[in-house]
Amino acid sequence: MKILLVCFAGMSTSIMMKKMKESAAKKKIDLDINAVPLSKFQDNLDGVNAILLGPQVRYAVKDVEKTTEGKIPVMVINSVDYGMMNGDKVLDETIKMVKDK
Amino acid sequence: MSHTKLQTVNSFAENKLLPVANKISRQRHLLAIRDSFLTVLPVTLLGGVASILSSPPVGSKPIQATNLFNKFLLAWSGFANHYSSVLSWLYAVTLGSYALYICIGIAYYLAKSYKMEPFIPTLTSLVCFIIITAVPGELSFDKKEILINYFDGKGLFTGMLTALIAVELFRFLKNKKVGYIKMPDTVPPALTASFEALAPVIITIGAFFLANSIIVNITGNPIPKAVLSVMAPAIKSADNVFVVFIITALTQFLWFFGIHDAAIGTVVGPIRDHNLAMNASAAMAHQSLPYIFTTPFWVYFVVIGGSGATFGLVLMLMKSKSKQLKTVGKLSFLPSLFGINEPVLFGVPLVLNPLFFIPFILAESLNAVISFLLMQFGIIGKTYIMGGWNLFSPIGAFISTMDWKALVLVIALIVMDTLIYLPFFKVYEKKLIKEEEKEL
Repeated sequence: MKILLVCFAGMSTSIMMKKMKESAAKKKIDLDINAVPLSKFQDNLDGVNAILLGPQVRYAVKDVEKTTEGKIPVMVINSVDYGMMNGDKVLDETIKMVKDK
Repeated sequence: MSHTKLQTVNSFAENKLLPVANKISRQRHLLAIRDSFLTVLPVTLLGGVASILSSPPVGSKPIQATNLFNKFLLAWSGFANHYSSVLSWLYAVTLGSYALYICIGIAYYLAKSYKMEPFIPTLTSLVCFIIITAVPGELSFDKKEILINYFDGKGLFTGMLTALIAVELFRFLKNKKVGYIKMPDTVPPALTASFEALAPVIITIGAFFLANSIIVNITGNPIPKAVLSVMAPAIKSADNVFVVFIITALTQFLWFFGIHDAAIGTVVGPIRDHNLAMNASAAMAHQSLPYIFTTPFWVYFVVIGGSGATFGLVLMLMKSKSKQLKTVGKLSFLPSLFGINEPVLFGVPLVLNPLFFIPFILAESLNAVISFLLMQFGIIGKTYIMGGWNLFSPIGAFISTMDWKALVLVIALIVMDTLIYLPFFKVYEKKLIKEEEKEL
């Protein structure tokens, strides 16, 4: 599965990226995950199954959905899970979102 | 604040603030400007290096080679004097040509945002920029002299406007198919593309050339000088402690709702960078620095440890008896050193937590006000070097000012911020510990 994490500068999402990688390794899930700045997300959509936005850039969710024409599911990460960098839970929710699509 | 009140406030944020934040921070032209400023950073950093090398921190008093440190300073001074022309040249082609590079960057990103092949519009903007910004001296066959003193901060707004106008004009002409030459299908697409652009490029550059000739002939001054005479008084008057206080408080107000301050940064950022470039040029010319509110001022003196000036708070979190706060503290410490504090904002949380509303706005605003006033009164040196966004604040403060007192100031501000957060932190910690005990 390929996930794209997006926040303003791709900095804080890179912490989340690390946590989700750890979680995926534990669960033995094959995960390709990348953290990018909002201004560059269009260039990184190849083969992406899910896009996750940091809560601080949730204002961009409609723009992101418009750009991807609804083809890729988009989720704003719950702010508490983001603050606690709860990679386990966010990964589970992402997998569920992709399956339900 | 009661729970329902908080919900009202939150829905105000979601319904009213978010759309505005989105509009401003996703606006095409502003976005191109912001991306350009972010991307040319390596070049400006190099300019900062030239600046540092050519300004050893020695005062007007002569120093004696009594100890190793003074010997080092003397050697540095000697180096700076001996190589001053080389260092000035390095500066002139980096930060000293800031406007040129910003113009190229904006044209590139704006063209890209329109999904145009960016090379031709970027090149067109570059030619337009040189036409109106360089001042020709002698232009013979074997000797060409142009003055590039508007390539630096002084030409920044001209450079930004040039890129925006040139790309828009080019795009307009191309969409209207002005001078479009229909090629037979057998002609390679690349060739067709270059023919397509022919008339739009010539007309765009021609328009700038004509405008420049007319304005220079009438006023006797190059265009950047006119632009500057309009912009400079406004920017100079905005460089005061009240405006900086309001910008800081507003930034924090947005962050209180968990909204990134991109909308404010997008508008204020170019002004901060302009001020930095002007200070850098003044420093290279050994003149007094004109501006206080610059990008390094913001990054190193105001946002210490991330939005909300939370560095001191993180230190308290790490030692907290609440499990949740301790977890957040440990998670946040390293990122906080580099000014990243989303775990604190969303994990404590500070966002939408009425208990922290006051310190969250107060700490950072006071950092801004105190630093500003100390610089205004000449007690702390002003900033003229940008050392990268993620430099630890006290070190960044020193490098950006080359004044050791700046380092002391930032450490003092961290202590102050800690004390501002302390009472609120204690109340919140107590509440969490109680809740955590209940859960057991």
